[in-house]
Amino acid sequence: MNPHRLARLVLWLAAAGWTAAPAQSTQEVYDRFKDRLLQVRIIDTDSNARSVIGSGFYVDGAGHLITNYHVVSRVILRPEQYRAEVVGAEGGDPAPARVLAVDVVNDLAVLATGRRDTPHLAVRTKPVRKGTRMYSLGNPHDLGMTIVEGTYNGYVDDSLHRRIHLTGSLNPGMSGGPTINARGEVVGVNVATAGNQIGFLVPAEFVRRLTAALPETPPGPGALLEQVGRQLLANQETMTQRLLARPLATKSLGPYRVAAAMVEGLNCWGDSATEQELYYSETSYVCGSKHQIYVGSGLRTGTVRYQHTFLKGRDIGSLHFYALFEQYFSRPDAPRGGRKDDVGRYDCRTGFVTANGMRLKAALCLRAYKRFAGLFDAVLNVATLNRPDAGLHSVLALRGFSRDNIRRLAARYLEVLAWKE
Amino acid sequence: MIVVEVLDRFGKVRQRHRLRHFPATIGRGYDNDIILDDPHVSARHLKLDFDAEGRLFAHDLDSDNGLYAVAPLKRVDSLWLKSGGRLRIGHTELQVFFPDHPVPAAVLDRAKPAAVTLFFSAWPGLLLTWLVLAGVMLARQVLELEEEATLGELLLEMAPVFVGLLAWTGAWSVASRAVTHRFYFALHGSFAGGFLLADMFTQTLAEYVEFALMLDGAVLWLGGVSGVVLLALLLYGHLRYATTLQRRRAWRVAGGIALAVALLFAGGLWVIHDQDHQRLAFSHYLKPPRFALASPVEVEEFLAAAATLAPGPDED
Repeated sequence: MNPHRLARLVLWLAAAGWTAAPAQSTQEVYDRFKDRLLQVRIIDTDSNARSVIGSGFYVDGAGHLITNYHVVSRVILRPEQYRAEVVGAEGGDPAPARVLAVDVVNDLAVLATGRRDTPHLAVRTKPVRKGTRMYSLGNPHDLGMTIVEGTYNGYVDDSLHRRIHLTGSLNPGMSGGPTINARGEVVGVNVATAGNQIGFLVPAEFVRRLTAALPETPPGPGALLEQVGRQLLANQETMTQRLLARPLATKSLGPYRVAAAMVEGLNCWGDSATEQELYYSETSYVCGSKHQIYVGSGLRTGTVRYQHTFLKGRDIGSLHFYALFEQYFSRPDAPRGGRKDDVGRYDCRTGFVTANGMRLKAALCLRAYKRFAGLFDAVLNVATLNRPDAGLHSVLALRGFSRDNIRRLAARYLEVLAWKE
Repeated sequence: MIVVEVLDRFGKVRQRHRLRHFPATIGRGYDNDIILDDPHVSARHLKLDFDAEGRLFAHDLDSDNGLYAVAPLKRVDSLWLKSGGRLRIGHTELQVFFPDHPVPAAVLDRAKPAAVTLFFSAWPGLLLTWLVLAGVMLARQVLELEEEATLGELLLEMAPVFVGLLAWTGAWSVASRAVTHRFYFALHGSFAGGFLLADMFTQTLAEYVEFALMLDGAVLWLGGVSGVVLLALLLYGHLRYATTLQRRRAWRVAGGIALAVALLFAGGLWVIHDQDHQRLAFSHYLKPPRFALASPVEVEEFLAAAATLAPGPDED
């Protein structure tokens, strides 16, 4: 142990003894840990200028640093166009960095700088009490390395993905930076904000998992892309198993029975429009994933979303009702986004289908991911055809699932759809 | 008596004059038997008369620009004229005919006079067509209303269509007037209104066919083909009354324009669809259940498509 480290240990012990006393100043925390922080820059090789900035921190003495996957996604998706470099918290010459490993599902990446004996932050894996003071570090909007105080508020209730809820200001550019406790232990990695002091962190346990078995040398760009693909495939498999583990909960929407919240990881909302001037009344119910996986350039994946809309005509004929109903059926809310080199075109099948003795018009559309074989976006768009002046429009939208899981989830979804009278 | 025809620069007859008294004079002055507007013609330019042997001759009355024999073009003081003979003074060409000049036999008209044409050429026909059109458009609008609307609002929404219809009809009428000296406004208006009606009808029919039989693309193809045919019919009607084109030629022109419009339209559609990378191309028509004629399949069978839709680059 070098004398420098020893000195720090003494300081820690001192700090631990003061826990009952007022917390040490934010200034002190920053000064103690600033040498472990980095700014991550993604450089466009044509203009030789920064196209993305983020933050990161050393996680071991071998020059490995942690940042967000979404900070370095361009280097992984388009290595011929982008490269990564890092700069210390207090400036200095930029050093090149290579991506060593990624966890796309939890939005983490490990970069190798080639430096040795780097000062680093420890990762805390023991539970943290709600209300504990936290310090988020990073370089927001390239304004220089910044420290922000916040409060730990536990895990976000989502059985599909884990995130820590932090009350504190996270801003663009702080992505990939650490949130630490007063002892300098990493509790989570800054990843997102919902505005108004609501921040989200990737729990430190995923950092531990990702750094447990790092390769010696950086894999080639193709290998990283394959790694991302494997993780996405595994994630959709896990999600499907969770979604299909129990019989689907159902609820009533008018005289129809529909799928309710599949698992607690989905947010569900209801609304209705019953204005007297309208020729119909509308009651809708929407469920969607709280979490989505960022892959790159507008491509977000790993989500489930479904929407039921019950429409009832008000003293109008069937021609009029179905003309209005068609407005809904013709515009389902399908997964969008993604560039031409990310996703192909939608390919659809349309037909009349019988589900629980009820006739439906259904359209199933899929589009393939071009970089990740075996993954698809899908939309199942359904309109009931069993009443002259009432109907249910129902849409199931899946992002980033395999063909087989799309079929299984869609089948389960239609299994519960029924007319109750 | 002889007949003198004043020709335009295409050799078509612009005016015909009968001359009964000789000698007769032609010129720009008002004391002539035939008055020409041509500024290159002198006030008293030419004299037509019969000689002692009963032959017709033209004589230059010492005009500024002279008298010309046609084919070969040659300046002369006077010339003898046979029936059908031509001469030129100033920029005007004249052709003379004797009453016994033979004319070709009448072209046999195989088609009967069209009762429809006669009906629509009249104003009641136009009124009826446009009223039916307005009624159908109103009905279509009412069937798509999400909330109550006043008649005024509905009519206001239809106004652009009728403004366009008026402009279109007016343009063809002016063309008719320029070429055939008649406006045929009611006729052109009926054609245009009839076209819109027929097009709406076939589009709606195609939508029902697509829904009922689950024929994906029926609207695109049925609607597209019927649109081209109807447009060709419309243009043929307009051209027959606004130009001197013969039947076969009018068909060719109308068909050609309709096809060109269709190709442009298809090209535009293709470009739009090609650029819209995110487009969901599925048959989206929804009609009342009683029109659903194609037999339904079971859920399992329908969802089996998930195994084959959108083949990726590594799949066959």
